Amino acid sequence: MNETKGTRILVVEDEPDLREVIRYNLQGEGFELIGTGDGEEGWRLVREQHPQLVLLDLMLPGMDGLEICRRMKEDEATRGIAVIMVTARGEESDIVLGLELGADDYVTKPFSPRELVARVKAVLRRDRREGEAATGRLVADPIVIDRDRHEVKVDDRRIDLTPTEFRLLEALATSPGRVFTREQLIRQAIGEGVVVTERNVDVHIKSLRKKLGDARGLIETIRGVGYRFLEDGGKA
Amino acid sequence: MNVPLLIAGSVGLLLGVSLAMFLRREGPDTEESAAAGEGAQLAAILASMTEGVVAVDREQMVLHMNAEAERIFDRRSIQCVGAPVWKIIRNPEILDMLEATLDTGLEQEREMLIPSSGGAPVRRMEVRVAALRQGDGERGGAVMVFHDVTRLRHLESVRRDFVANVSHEIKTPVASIRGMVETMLDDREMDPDTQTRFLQRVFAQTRRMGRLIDDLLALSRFEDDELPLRRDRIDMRRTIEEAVEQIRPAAQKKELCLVAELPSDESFPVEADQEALRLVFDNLLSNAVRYTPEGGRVTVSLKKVGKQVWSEVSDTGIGIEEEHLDRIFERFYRVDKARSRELGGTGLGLSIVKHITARLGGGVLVQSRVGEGSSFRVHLPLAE
Repeated sequence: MNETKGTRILVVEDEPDLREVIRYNLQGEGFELIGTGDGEEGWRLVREQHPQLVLLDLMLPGMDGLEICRRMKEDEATRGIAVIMVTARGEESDIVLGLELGADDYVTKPFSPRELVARVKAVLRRDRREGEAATGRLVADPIVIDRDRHEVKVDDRRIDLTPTEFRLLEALATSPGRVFTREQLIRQAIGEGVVVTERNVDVHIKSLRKKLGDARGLIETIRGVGYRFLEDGGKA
Repeated sequence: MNVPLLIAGSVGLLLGVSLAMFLRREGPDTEESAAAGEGAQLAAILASMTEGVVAVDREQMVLHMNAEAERIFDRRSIQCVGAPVWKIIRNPEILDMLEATLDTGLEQEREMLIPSSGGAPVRRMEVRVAALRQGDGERGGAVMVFHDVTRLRHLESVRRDFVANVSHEIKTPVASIRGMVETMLDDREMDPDTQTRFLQRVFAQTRRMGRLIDDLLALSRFEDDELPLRRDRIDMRRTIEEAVEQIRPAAQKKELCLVAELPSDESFPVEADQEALRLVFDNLLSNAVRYTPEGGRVTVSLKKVGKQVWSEVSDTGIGIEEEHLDRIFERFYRVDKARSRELGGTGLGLSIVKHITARLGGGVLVQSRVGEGSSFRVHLPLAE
């Protein structure tokens, strides 16, 4: 309860019943909730109330969710606020676009309230963790990534990765639970400005998985969207 | 959806054979005149085709160009026959396909956007190029068939949008129902008031889904021109009276003045499907009641105008802004989504009204002024 207390969450969702379900469940976890059903109003609340996280429906009257997300990430003052998209369309192109705009995660309707609470907590946890310096060892049992020595061990056995594979694994494992689009992985692991096709990412991942052996399952394919590194070694 | 494409394909093949005969024109006099007769017939067939057809010889000179192809490429065939094809069709993609067929003898097929000529919109074409074989089986050029699939593709996108809309409309109540029920199952200590409120909302959401499904079924039934509609002789006055009685409790609840101006000494016979006609007035009246604030007025009138029956459902409601008037009959189009949902609308009512009245040989018109009210006029042919 302590980690949630005083954490303010904004729900922008135009279906009042769903807003109430979200509010009830997150308040029960100790979060402080504010909500609206209108996009313009949502954008106003983002700026004035400075929540730590926004649950954002994509199809909204006034201003759509993707536009709110875009504005949030363009604005210095609101860039750091975490965003979870809530969508009924389940359209992969919207999800990919949202993630590329900077959303942290997404859930598709209908969703389980329990799952939503878990996602909210995971994103907030990740937010805190990402603030820490990106040096030293990263442990995701049975994988150990040594950033300083550029070395990866699986079950204490060293594996040889290409520099691209190393950066891909590092990017994914630094934010377990987070879905990365192929475009984001290109930017993070291969470098901006380098001409690589999205299919190219699949090839690198395939080779990386092969080298990870039994731990390959930690990298999950999200069909039509991208990849994700499982949280807690996939045991959760 | 595939049928027109198949036709285009088979027409292309058939033409390949016939054109070769038509274009050869050799042999003794008697055969020649027979061939000329056949040729004229074939030219007439080609001219009336909805696909564009261009035939070229081995040297890429135009042998024939039908009327539709003239329209597509904005040329007169008289100037084209005998000219090199690249002077007529200045499209590298098509010329590449043609060359490939002339080289390999293999059929080429591709869909592409063809820029307009003379201000017409860009069209999406399915282009097929097949080898033209002479009577002796030797390759003698190629025939290109241009099939306009603009409308087909448009319809496909309309269908996709519709499916996306339906799934969105269904997922939204399901998401609320699932969220509330799961929360109740998880939280055994939920206070009774919240529990009751959640259950009432679940109940309301299931009713909303029920209405949506009813409307979707009605829409698919009345939209489908293939499904026959009953044509019984019906007195429209009675149908309206029944619809008015049904809506009366809802009108009274909002303290609306509900007036039926129906001439009592006259009958208004129309040939219609009783159930469909009821749906028209149920929808118009429930909209009028829904969008008229308390204390307002809803009026239904009925009269004969020439060989038509006119019925008008008017209200003193919130009205519709002019920019929306053209679109309110579209499926799932809502002027104000939140308000429509709050008031229990599915977004399909007026679309159902439009389809039914059109199928019955009539129509529906709307007039509205924001803040003053709306008026929907249904007109149907008067039965003999």
